[in-house]
Amino acid sequence: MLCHGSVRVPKNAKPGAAVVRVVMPESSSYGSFATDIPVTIK
Amino acid sequence: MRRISTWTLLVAAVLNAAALATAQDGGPAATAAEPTYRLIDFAAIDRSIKKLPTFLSSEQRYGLLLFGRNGETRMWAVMDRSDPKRAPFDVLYLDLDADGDLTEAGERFQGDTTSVGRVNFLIPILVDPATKAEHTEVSINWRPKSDRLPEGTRFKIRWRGGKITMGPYGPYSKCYQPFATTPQDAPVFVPGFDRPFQFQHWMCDKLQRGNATEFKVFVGNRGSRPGSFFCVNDRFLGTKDSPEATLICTDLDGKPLRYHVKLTSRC
Repeated sequence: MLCHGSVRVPKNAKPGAAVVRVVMPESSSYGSFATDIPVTIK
Repeated sequence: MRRISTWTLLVAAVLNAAALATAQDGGPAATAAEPTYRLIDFAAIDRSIKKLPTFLSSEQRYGLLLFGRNGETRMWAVMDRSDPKRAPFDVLYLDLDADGDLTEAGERFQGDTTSVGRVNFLIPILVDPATKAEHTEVSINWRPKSDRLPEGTRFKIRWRGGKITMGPYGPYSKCYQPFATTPQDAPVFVPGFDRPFQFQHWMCDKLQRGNATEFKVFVGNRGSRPGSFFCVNDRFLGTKDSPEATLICTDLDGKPLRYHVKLTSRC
Protein backbone atom coordinates (compact mmCIF):
# COMPACT_ATOMS: atom_id res chain seq x y z
CA MET A 1 0.00 0.00 0.00
CA LEU A 2 2.94 2.33 0.74
CA CYS A 3 6.13 3.05 -1.17
CA HIS A 4 8.95 4.32 1.03
CA GLY A 5 12.59 5.22 1.21
CA SER A 6 15.01 7.04 3.50
CA VAL A 7 15.12 10.83 3.16
CA ARG A 8 18.12 12.36 4.92
CA VAL A 9 17.93 16.04 5.82
CA PRO A 10 21.33 17.77 5.71
CA LYS A 11 22.57 19.21 9.01
CA ASN A 12 22.83 22.64 7.43
CA ALA A 13 19.22 22.66 6.16
CA LYS A 14 17.21 25.69 7.21
CA PRO A 15 14.44 24.80 9.67
CA GLY A 16 10.90 25.54 8.58
CA ALA A 17 8.69 24.82 5.58
CA ALA A 18 10.01 22.70 2.71
CA VAL A 19 8.57 20.27 0.19
CA VAL A 20 9.20 16.74 -0.92
CA ARG A 21 8.40 16.44 -4.63
CA VAL A 22 7.29 12.94 -5.62
CA VAL A 23 7.03 11.76 -9.21
CA MET A 24 7.13 8.50 -11.16
CA PRO A 25 10.45 7.92 -12.95
CA GLU A 26 10.59 8.74 -16.66
CA SER A 27 11.46 5.10 -17.36
CA SER A 28 8.17 3.91 -15.87
CA SER A 29 5.19 3.05 -18.02
CA TYR A 30 3.03 4.78 -15.41
CA GLY A 31 2.63 8.52 -15.64
CA SER A 32 2.22 10.90 -12.74
CA PHE A 33 1.41 14.42 -11.72
CA ALA A 34 4.44 15.66 -9.82
CA THR A 35 3.16 16.16 -6.29
CA ASP A 36 4.73 18.62 -3.87
CA ILE A 37 4.17 17.36 -0.34
CA PRO A 38 4.62 20.10 2.29
CA VAL A 39 6.94 19.12 5.14
CA THR A 40 8.43 20.88 8.14
CA ILE A 41 12.14 20.67 8.87
CA LYS A 42 12.92 20.82 12.59
CA MET B 1 -4.42 -4.26 -15.55
CA ARG B 2 -4.49 -1.45 -18.07
CA ARG B 3 -1.29 0.44 -18.71
CA ILE B 4 -1.17 3.88 -20.24
CA SER B 5 0.46 3.63 -23.65
CA THR B 6 3.84 5.20 -24.31
CA TRP B 7 2.34 7.39 -27.04
CA THR B 8 -0.40 8.65 -24.74
CA LEU B 9 2.15 9.44 -22.08
CA LEU B 10 4.35 11.26 -24.59
CA VAL B 11 1.49 13.46 -25.76
CA ALA B 12 0.41 14.09 -22.17
CA ALA B 13 3.97 14.92 -21.17
CA VAL B 14 4.35 17.53 -23.92
CA LEU B 15 1.01 19.16 -23.23
CA ASN B 16 1.36 19.02 -19.49
CA ALA B 17 5.04 19.82 -19.17
CA ALA B 18 4.64 23.12 -17.37
CA ALA B 19 1.78 21.97 -15.20
CA LEU B 20 3.29 18.65 -14.20
CA ALA B 21 6.59 20.19 -13.23
CA THR B 22 5.08 22.69 -10.85
CA ALA B 23 1.76 21.29 -9.64
CA GLN B 24 1.43 22.32 -6.03
CA ASP B 25 0.12 19.73 -3.62
CA GLY B 26 -2.71 18.55 -5.83
CA GLY B 27 -4.07 21.95 -6.79
CA PRO B 28 -5.06 22.64 -10.40
CA ALA B 29 -2.27 24.05 -12.54
CA ALA B 30 -2.83 26.34 -15.51
CA THR B 31 -1.64 25.34 -18.97
CA ALA B 32 -1.80 27.12 -22.31
CA ALA B 33 -2.96 23.98 -24.12
CA GLU B 34 -5.76 21.67 -23.07
CA PRO B 35 -4.02 18.66 -21.52
CA THR B 36 -4.95 15.05 -22.05
CA TYR B 37 -5.11 14.54 -18.30
CA ARG B 38 -5.90 17.37 -15.95
CA LEU B 39 -5.72 17.76 -12.21
CA ILE B 40 -9.32 17.68 -11.03
CA ASP B 41 -10.73 20.93 -9.70
CA PHE B 42 -12.82 19.54 -6.86
CA ALA B 43 -14.25 22.94 -5.98
CA ALA B 44 -15.96 22.98 -9.38
CA ILE B 45 -17.64 19.58 -9.04
CA ASP B 46 -21.42 19.66 -9.48
CA ARG B 47 -22.96 18.35 -6.26
CA SER B 48 -26.57 18.22 -7.38
CA ILE B 49 -28.52 14.94 -7.31
CA LYS B 50 -31.31 14.69 -9.86
CA LYS B 51 -33.64 12.35 -8.01
CA LEU B 52 -33.44 10.88 -4.51
CA PRO B 53 -35.41 7.92 -3.16
CA THR B 54 -37.76 8.24 -0.20
CA PHE B 55 -35.52 7.72 2.78
CA LEU B 56 -36.58 5.96 5.97
CA SER B 57 -34.06 7.53 8.32
CA SER B 58 -33.95 11.18 9.31
CA GLU B 59 -30.32 11.41 8.23
CA GLN B 60 -28.27 9.89 5.44
CA ARG B 61 -24.60 9.59 4.48
CA TYR B 62 -23.31 10.96 1.15
CA GLY B 63 -20.17 10.22 -0.84
CA LEU B 64 -19.29 10.94 -4.47
CA LEU B 65 -17.14 8.84 -6.81
CA LEU B 66 -15.63 10.25 -10.00
CA PHE B 67 -14.96 8.16 -13.09
CA GLY B 68 -13.53 8.97 -16.52
CA ARG B 69 -10.32 10.45 -17.86
CA ASN B 70 -10.69 13.64 -15.87
CA GLY B 71 -13.36 12.60 -13.39
CA GLU B 72 -16.16 14.00 -15.51
CA THR B 73 -18.62 11.20 -14.66
CA ARG B 74 -20.21 11.39 -11.20
CA MET B 75 -21.57 8.44 -9.24
CA TRP B 76 -23.34 9.22 -5.98
CA ALA B 77 -23.34 6.77 -3.10
CA VAL B 78 -25.94 7.44 -0.43
CA MET B 79 -26.52 5.39 2.71
CA ASP B 80 -29.76 5.10 4.65
CA ARG B 81 -31.14 2.90 7.44
CA SER B 82 -33.65 0.15 6.73
CA ASP B 83 -34.97 0.67 10.25
CA PRO B 84 -34.81 4.30 11.32
CA LYS B 85 -34.47 3.21 14.97
CA ARG B 86 -31.44 1.03 14.28
CA ALA B 87 -27.98 2.54 14.20
CA PRO B 88 -26.31 0.90 11.19
CA PHE B 89 -26.51 2.49 7.77
CA ASP B 90 -27.41 -0.77 6.07
CA VAL B 91 -28.99 0.48 2.84
CA LEU B 92 -26.87 1.79 -0.01
CA TYR B 93 -28.13 3.66 -3.04
CA LEU B 94 -25.43 3.63 -5.72
CA ASP B 95 -25.99 5.55 -8.95
CA LEU B 96 -24.57 2.82 -11.18
CA ASP B 97 -25.38 4.53 -14.49
CA ALA B 98 -24.28 7.94 -13.18
CA ASP B 99 -27.43 9.68 -14.36
CA GLY B 100 -28.15 11.29 -10.99
CA ASP B 101 -31.36 9.28 -10.45
CA LEU B 102 -31.07 7.11 -7.35
CA THR B 103 -34.59 5.74 -7.57
CA GLU B 104 -33.92 3.31 -10.42
CA ALA B 105 -34.24 -0.44 -10.14
CA GLY B 106 -31.02 -2.25 -9.31
CA GLU B 107 -29.43 0.72 -7.57
CA ARG B 108 -30.56 -0.13 -4.01
CA PHE B 109 -28.40 -2.55 -2.04
CA GLN B 110 -29.11 -4.16 1.32
CA GLY B 111 -25.93 -4.63 3.35
CA ASP B 112 -25.01 -7.41 5.75
CA THR B 113 -24.68 -6.19 9.33
CA THR B 114 -22.01 -7.85 11.45
CA SER B 115 -22.24 -8.62 15.16
CA VAL B 116 -20.26 -5.45 15.96
CA GLY B 117 -22.58 -3.24 13.94
CA ARG B 118 -20.48 -2.87 10.81
CA VAL B 119 -22.20 -3.17 7.44
CA ASN B 120 -20.76 -4.82 4.35
CA PHE B 121 -22.05 -4.22 0.84
CA LEU B 122 -20.75 -6.41 -1.96
CA ILE B 123 -21.36 -5.59 -5.62
CA PRO B 124 -19.99 -8.38 -7.83
CA ILE B 125 -19.67 -6.31 -11.01
CA LEU B 126 -19.72 -2.55 -11.49
CA VAL B 127 -19.73 -1.37 -15.10
CA ASP B 128 -17.71 1.83 -15.26
CA PRO B 129 -20.17 4.50 -16.41
CA ALA B 130 -17.42 6.36 -18.26
CA THR B 131 -15.27 3.63 -19.85
CA LYS B 132 -17.69 0.65 -19.72
CA ALA B 133 -14.89 -1.42 -18.18
CA GLU B 134 -16.03 -4.02 -15.65
CA HIS B 135 -14.77 -3.57 -12.11
CA THR B 136 -15.35 -6.56 -9.87
CA GLU B 137 -15.57 -7.49 -6.19
CA VAL B 138 -16.66 -3.99 -5.23
CA SER B 139 -16.73 -3.94 -1.45
CA ILE B 140 -18.10 -0.99 0.52
CA ASN B 141 -17.96 -1.15 4.30
CA TRP B 142 -19.55 1.19 6.82
CA ARG B 143 -18.47 1.21 10.44
CA PRO B 144 -20.08 3.08 13.33
CA LYS B 145 -18.20 5.44 15.61
CA SER B 146 -16.46 3.64 18.45
CA ASP B 147 -14.18 4.56 21.36
CA ARG B 148 -11.18 3.88 19.14
CA LEU B 149 -12.30 5.00 15.69
CA PRO B 150 -14.59 7.60 14.15
CA GLU B 151 -17.44 6.57 11.85
CA GLY B 152 -16.05 5.56 8.50
CA THR B 153 -16.69 4.13 5.06
CA ARG B 154 -14.15 2.01 3.18
CA PHE B 155 -13.95 0.91 -0.46
CA LYS B 156 -12.09 -1.93 -2.12
CA ILE B 157 -12.45 -2.51 -5.87
CA ARG B 158 -10.82 -5.00 -8.21
CA TRP B 159 -10.27 -2.45 -10.98
CA ARG B 160 -11.03 -3.81 -14.47
CA GLY B 161 -11.17 -7.21 -12.81
CA GLY B 162 -7.44 -7.06 -12.11
CA LYS B 163 -5.53 -5.28 -9.40
CA ILE B 164 -6.99 -3.67 -6.31
CA THR B 165 -7.76 0.00 -5.71
CA MET B 166 -8.91 1.05 -2.26
CA GLY B 167 -9.57 3.97 -0.01
CA PRO B 168 -10.00 6.38 1.45
CA TYR B 169 -6.62 7.11 3.02
CA GLY B 170 -4.90 10.22 4.31
CA PRO B 171 -1.81 11.51 6.07
CA TYR B 172 -3.14 10.28 9.43
CA SER B 173 -5.69 7.56 10.10
CA LYS B 174 -7.90 9.87 12.13
CA CYS B 175 -8.50 12.00 9.04
CA TYR B 176 -9.73 9.19 6.77
CA GLN B 177 -12.88 10.75 5.39
CA PRO B 178 -16.27 9.30 6.33
CA PHE B 179 -19.32 9.98 4.21
CA ALA B 180 -20.98 13.30 5.04
CA THR B 181 -24.48 14.20 6.14
CA THR B 182 -25.17 16.41 3.09
CA PRO B 183 -24.26 16.26 -0.63
CA GLN B 184 -22.53 19.63 -0.34
CA ASP B 185 -20.14 18.28 2.30
CA ALA B 186 -19.67 14.87 0.73
CA PRO B 187 -16.08 13.76 0.20
CA VAL B 188 -15.20 13.16 -3.44
CA PHE B 189 -13.16 10.09 -4.34
CA VAL B 190 -11.35 9.08 -7.54
CA PRO B 191 -10.91 5.29 -7.63
CA GLY B 192 -8.75 3.28 -9.99
CA PHE B 193 -5.42 3.67 -11.72
CA ASP B 194 -6.34 4.88 -15.21
CA ARG B 195 -5.05 8.40 -14.58
CA PRO B 196 -1.47 9.57 -13.95
CA PHE B 197 -0.60 8.85 -10.33
CA GLN B 198 -0.53 11.32 -7.48
CA PHE B 199 0.98 10.82 -4.05
CA GLN B 200 -0.08 11.22 -0.43
CA HIS B 201 2.37 11.02 2.47
CA TRP B 202 1.72 8.82 5.47
CA MET B 203 2.73 10.30 8.85
CA CYS B 204 6.02 11.80 7.68
CA ASP B 205 5.50 15.53 7.27
CA LYS B 206 8.00 16.39 10.02
CA LEU B 207 11.69 15.89 9.17
CA GLN B 208 14.65 16.31 11.52
CA ARG B 209 17.88 18.02 10.44
CA GLY B 210 20.83 15.64 10.36
CA ASN B 211 18.57 12.60 10.53
CA ALA B 212 17.02 10.22 8.03
CA THR B 213 13.26 9.76 7.91
CA GLU B 214 11.55 6.84 6.27
CA PHE B 215 9.35 8.77 3.83
CA LYS B 216 6.19 6.86 2.98
CA VAL B 217 3.66 7.65 0.27
CA PHE B 218 0.40 6.22 -0.97
CA VAL B 219 0.28 5.99 -4.77
CA GLY B 220 -3.02 6.70 -6.47
CA ASN B 221 -5.53 9.53 -6.87
CA ARG B 222 -6.19 12.48 -4.66
CA GLY B 223 -9.73 13.18 -3.55
CA SER B 224 -11.42 16.41 -2.61
CA ARG B 225 -9.71 16.80 0.77
CA PRO B 226 -7.07 15.18 2.98
CA GLY B 227 -8.21 11.70 3.91
CA SER B 228 -9.98 11.00 0.62
CA PHE B 229 -7.05 9.42 -1.27
CA PHE B 230 -7.59 6.22 -3.28
CA CYS B 231 -4.49 4.07 -3.70
CA VAL B 232 -3.11 0.93 -5.28
CA ASN B 233 -1.72 -1.78 -3.02
CA ASP B 234 1.91 -2.46 -2.16
CA ARG B 235 2.30 -5.13 -4.84
CA PHE B 236 1.18 -2.91 -7.70
CA LEU B 237 4.50 -1.25 -8.56
CA GLY B 238 7.67 -3.24 -9.21
CA THR B 239 11.06 -1.93 -8.09
CA LYS B 240 11.79 -0.38 -11.50
CA ASP B 241 8.59 1.61 -11.16
CA SER B 242 9.55 3.08 -7.79
CA PRO B 243 8.48 6.70 -7.28
CA GLU B 244 11.24 9.27 -6.92
CA ALA B 245 11.22 11.78 -4.05
CA THR B 246 13.23 14.99 -3.88
CA LEU B 247 13.52 17.05 -0.72
CA ILE B 248 13.60 20.70 -1.78
CA CYS B 249 14.82 23.13 0.84
CA THR B 250 17.55 25.70 1.50
CA ASP B 251 20.63 25.79 3.68
CA LEU B 252 21.10 28.26 6.52
CA ASP B 253 22.43 30.81 4.01
CA GLY B 254 19.43 30.46 1.73
CA LYS B 255 21.16 28.42 -0.97
CA PRO B 256 19.03 25.70 -2.60
CA LEU B 257 19.46 22.14 -1.32
CA ARG B 258 18.18 18.97 -2.97
CA TYR B 259 18.15 15.41 -1.66
CA HIS B 260 16.98 12.74 -4.07
CA VAL B 261 15.86 9.20 -3.22
CA LYS B 262 13.99 6.37 -4.89
CA LEU B 263 11.14 4.95 -2.83
CA THR B 264 11.99 1.30 -3.49
CA SER B 265 10.61 -0.28 -0.31
CA ARG B 266 7.02 -1.44 0.06
CA CYS B 267 4.76 -2.10 3.00
